[in-house]
Amino acid sequence: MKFWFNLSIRIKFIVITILISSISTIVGLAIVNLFQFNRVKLDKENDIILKSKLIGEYVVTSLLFPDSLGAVSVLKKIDAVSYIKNIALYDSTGKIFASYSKQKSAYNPILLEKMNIKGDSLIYDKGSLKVIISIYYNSMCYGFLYLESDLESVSSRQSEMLLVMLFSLLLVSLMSYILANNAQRILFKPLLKLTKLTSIVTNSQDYTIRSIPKYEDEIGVLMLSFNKMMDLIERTINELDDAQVNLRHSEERYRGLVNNSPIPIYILREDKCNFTNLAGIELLGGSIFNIINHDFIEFLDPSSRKEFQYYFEPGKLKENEPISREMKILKNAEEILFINITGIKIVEFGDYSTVLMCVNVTDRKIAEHEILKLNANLENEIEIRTKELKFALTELIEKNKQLTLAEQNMRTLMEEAERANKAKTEFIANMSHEIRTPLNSIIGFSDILLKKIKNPDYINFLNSIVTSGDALLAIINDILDISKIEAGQVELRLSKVNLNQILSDLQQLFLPKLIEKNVEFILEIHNLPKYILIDEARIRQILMNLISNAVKFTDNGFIKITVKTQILNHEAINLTIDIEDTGIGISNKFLDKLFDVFSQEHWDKNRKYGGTGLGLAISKRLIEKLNGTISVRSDIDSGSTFTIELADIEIIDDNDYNHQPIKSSRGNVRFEPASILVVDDIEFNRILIKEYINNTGLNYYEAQDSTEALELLDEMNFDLILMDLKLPEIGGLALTKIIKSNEKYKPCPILAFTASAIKFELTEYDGMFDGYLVKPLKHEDLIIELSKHLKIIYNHELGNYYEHLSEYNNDADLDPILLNTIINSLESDLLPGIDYLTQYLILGEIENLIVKLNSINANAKISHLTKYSNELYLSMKKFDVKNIKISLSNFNKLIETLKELYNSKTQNI
Amino acid sequence: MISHKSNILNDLKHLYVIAIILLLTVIGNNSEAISKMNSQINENSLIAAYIERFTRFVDWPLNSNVNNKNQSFIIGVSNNYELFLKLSELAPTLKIKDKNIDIVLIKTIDEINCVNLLFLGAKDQEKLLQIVKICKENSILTISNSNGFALKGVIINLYNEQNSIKFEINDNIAREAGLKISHLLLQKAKIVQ
Repeated sequence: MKFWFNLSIRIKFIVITILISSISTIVGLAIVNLFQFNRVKLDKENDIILKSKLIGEYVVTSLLFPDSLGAVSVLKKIDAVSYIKNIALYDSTGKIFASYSKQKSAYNPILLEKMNIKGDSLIYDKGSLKVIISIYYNSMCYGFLYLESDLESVSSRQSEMLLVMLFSLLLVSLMSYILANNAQRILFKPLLKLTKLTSIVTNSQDYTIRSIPKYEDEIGVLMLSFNKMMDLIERTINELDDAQVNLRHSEERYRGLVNNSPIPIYILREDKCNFTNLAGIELLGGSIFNIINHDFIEFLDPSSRKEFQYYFEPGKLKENEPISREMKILKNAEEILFINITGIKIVEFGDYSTVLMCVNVTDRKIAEHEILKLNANLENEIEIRTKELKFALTELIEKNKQLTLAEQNMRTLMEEAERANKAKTEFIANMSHEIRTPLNSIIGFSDILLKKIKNPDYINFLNSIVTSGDALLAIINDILDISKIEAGQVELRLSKVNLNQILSDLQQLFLPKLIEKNVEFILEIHNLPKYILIDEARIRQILMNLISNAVKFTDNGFIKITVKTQILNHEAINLTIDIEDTGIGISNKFLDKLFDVFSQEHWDKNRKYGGTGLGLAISKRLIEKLNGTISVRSDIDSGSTFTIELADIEIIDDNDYNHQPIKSSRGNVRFEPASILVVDDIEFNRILIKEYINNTGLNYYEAQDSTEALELLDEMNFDLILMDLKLPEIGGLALTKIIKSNEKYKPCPILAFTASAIKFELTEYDGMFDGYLVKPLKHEDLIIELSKHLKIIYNHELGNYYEHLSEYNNDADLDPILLNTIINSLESDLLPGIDYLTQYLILGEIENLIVKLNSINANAKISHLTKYSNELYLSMKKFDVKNIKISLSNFNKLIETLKELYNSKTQNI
Repeated sequence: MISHKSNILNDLKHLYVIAIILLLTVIGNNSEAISKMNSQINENSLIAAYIERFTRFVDWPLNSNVNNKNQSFIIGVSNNYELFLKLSELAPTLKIKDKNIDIVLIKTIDEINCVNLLFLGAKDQEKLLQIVKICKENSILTISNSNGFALKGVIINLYNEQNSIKFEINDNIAREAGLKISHLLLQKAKIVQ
């Protein structure tokens, strides 16, 4: 076996290849031959059976019509078949009927009864095949036929096949050898080359030798791996060389370092000093020979020797865990020095040594001793000071306790004050409700009666009632305002405000009074941005108060409003408003009290001028709330100047300007058909609202309480609900919550209706109500609030007019006579009133003007006139005062245009 | 026409044997006559056996009642009363084409067309052409043992040669009658045209 494994890989490859191919050939041929042997045998059997049956059929008639000679002549047909030797025919009882043999010697056919054969049989016997078959015709057996054949042809065929097999085997082996021999040259040549290369490397130790792979097969990969391995070996050897050089240098450096180190170093082996440097010799004194091969412990002071043994003896130290101790050492065996010894265990070639590095700390030890002495003194000093501090601290704690007590008392007082203030606010709120509710009915019903009663005496009475009611309401409002301000309940609602517009409105408001008094009103505005961010209601209230006072106390001369701005940046300004009058003036001594509550200089003149003396107090407080100041300059009989200064007012970009709610033009407003529900337990409130919305096109429904309200809501849908907050049982807010949260009710705006001016703060009901109305309710306030939620049409005529706006006529077809009549009518009937309208902008009168224009133009449908009234109507609908004024001032131009039209038509005729 | 069922034939067989014994007793010692009679009896037995064997090698046309399993195979015998008796004796023990056999004795020419196989005696020579015509039309296999009958249209004719019975076949007539004769029988016979 060892012989086989020692053989060359080439020979092994050839032998294995021949073996494999020979075995494969033998197995393959054996299988084929086995199959062929059987095939030959079967063919022989089938052939002889077929021949037997053919002969059998031809001898049927010989058996049936007994004719043994005829039978023999049929049997003789076997002469044509070489391998059939003998044949015999038996009748159905098995008796011999005829027979024939090719052999020359006498033939004795076998006796069937002796052979004990039942049915057809094949018998191989002594190199011959014997066949016995039954002779059938039309399913009837007529006899038996016996045939005897030799098997020589089968045997010769088998011999031939064996010969072929042997020859094939020989041929395959020869071919295998030739092919394997050629293949091994291709396969193993590079491998043998690599083997040879390895031997060269080993013998010459030349690691630069590399193999050159031709292909990328396994041998190619092996060659590449060999090259890589050689690279690695070459690199490693180079690195080893470098490392050795480095090591040598390092060792030299180390020796220089240790020898010249200022730190004394000792290397001990088995307690004996094995090595020391120059500093080591210097520390211990004497020469190197007194140190080398001496026990290190001898150099230590006796008091340190036990400690040294404990920490630095062999076996105590551990690798990489240095230990430092302070010990005493004897220099020249006499002088005691303090040293800090650091010991490290190092292992070299299996033996361990102890390296000791020593630092002389004798100087430090002496200094430490001095410091300890000083520390002792310092501690005494600190103790004294600490005692003093403790005493001071005790005093502080005592004072703190007293302060806490005082603070508690103050807090109690404050809480009491807050409670009192709250009680006051509650009282005022309730009082306001209690006074406003009856006042609501007084003013409201008086208002209604004024429209219905014609008797001048009663009208005067009613006017007195309304005036008194208004005055009382103003007083109550002022009292409430000042209460709210003092209670700190005023919250600012900043919005986009057009201050210019407010001042114009106020001018319009006081215009009749100013005309009556013959006082000039001057408005001077410098660089005011269109919109600023401020509380509109409060600034309006302040200006109203101040202008109202100026008007009140000025009987001649002028009232001048000057608005100045100081631009801080493009987002904010400082605003200064001067209200100057030429009125009665204020005395110097009263100027200080001017802004106090209920202060009015001319109490004696109070009857003449009226007022509560709260206006300026309210204004001052509101201005302060707006982060501003108010000041006054005045001389008796020369007039006064009030100056408001508001700092850092934000400017608003006018792109997202919101339209102000529509102002009511009393008596002419109509709404598109809608149903409103008024929920109030007080009957006269309900009647008042019903009267107010009479003839406005709205359907009025009322409910006394929540039960009635919900019943009505179940029955029908409403477009708006007016909800009293102080309802019996569940209250207006709770009922509103029920309505808003129930999906079966149609969503509609709900307006809160309350007499309480203080308690009602929108923030409390945020998201719940869509608006609010305060008692006593005024007609205008109601209409304005309703107009925010319901669609307005003005009056019927205007509605129709607007619908027909598109029906422009062609002016070319216009009758000149009709045109002339229209021009005359415009000049005589309408033109005289235009100046008045332009000055006072009475919306009701402007609407009447549009209706009249519409009526005049009904037949002619003059396009200029239609366009004019259309523009005027649209401006009025938008309450665009500027455009209304432009339209009115263009009335003359309209007439001139119509005249030109008339002239052109008459000239054409 | 006389028709014998197999049970009646059994009785007749006994009567026939008794009649022969009585006849021998009455005639006395006439040995030549007895010998001739015995020879005649053996020949008829052989003919009877051959008739059955011939049918194994002949196929009748599909429309012939031979192929109807419900009808018996009818053999008519004309002018050979001994053969009639012999066949009648053997009929119960045999089957042709897997059917029972009825034997009829033909006396007039009109009785021919109901048989499947007709044996003609030597006396039928006078009306032979007429009989052959009827037999051809009705697919009747005709057999005889008279010289020259095959040449005159009988399909199988038995004859004696060197003391053994041979047969000749007129295959053309057989084909005209719609009958197919196996080649095995043909190769054993002498073919006449």
